[in-house]
Amino acid sequence: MSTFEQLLQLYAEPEKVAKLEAFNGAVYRASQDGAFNDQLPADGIATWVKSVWQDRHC
Amino acid sequence: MSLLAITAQRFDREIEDVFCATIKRLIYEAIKAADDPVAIELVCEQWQELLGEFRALERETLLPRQPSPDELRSHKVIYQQAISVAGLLGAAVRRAHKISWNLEANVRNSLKERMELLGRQVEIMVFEYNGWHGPRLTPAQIELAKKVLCVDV
Repeated sequence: MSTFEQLLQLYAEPEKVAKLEAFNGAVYRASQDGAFNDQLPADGIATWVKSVWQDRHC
Repeated sequence: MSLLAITAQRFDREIEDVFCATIKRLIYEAIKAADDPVAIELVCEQWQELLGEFRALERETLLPRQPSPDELRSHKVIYQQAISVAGLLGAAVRRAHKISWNLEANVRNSLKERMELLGRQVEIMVFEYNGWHGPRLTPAQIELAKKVLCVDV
């Protein structure tokens, strides 16, 4: 499963704060691991994953 | 019965006015409640109900389709005020909890639980606000993100 799919799964229940913390934690760790760079801010990735999740489920 | 006394079908100027007036009333009542744990809890219960109605309207009207710019504008204004009032209530409950050391344990516990709930609500709302109204990745950034995160293109 790709990092992206894992993030999508984590975002599935955003109203549960533990899920949100896991999601934000995963995005943060990916940014610390160098997955993102100056061109890919972590907050922007989080927003994008959320929009993709909504496109798929709404 | 709805706290808003209105059956809204969409985010528009009318529902924005009603939401914002209700939020202003809650702010006034929170200030008036001062350090009274019971009065503060009553305001928090109304806030909880208002948040539920906001979420329901969001779920029923914005998520199933592409909202119009006007709907998004009203949604944004309400969201900003909702985050502010949750922060204000959190500060009021934190203060009441701090000076409640000589009250019964159940009162203190109730204040602590409410304080933690408000903190979680603010965290989630700010996250969601960024999702709805924060900046978007540019097309070039999205293409880069797809490669970095191994998304099937």
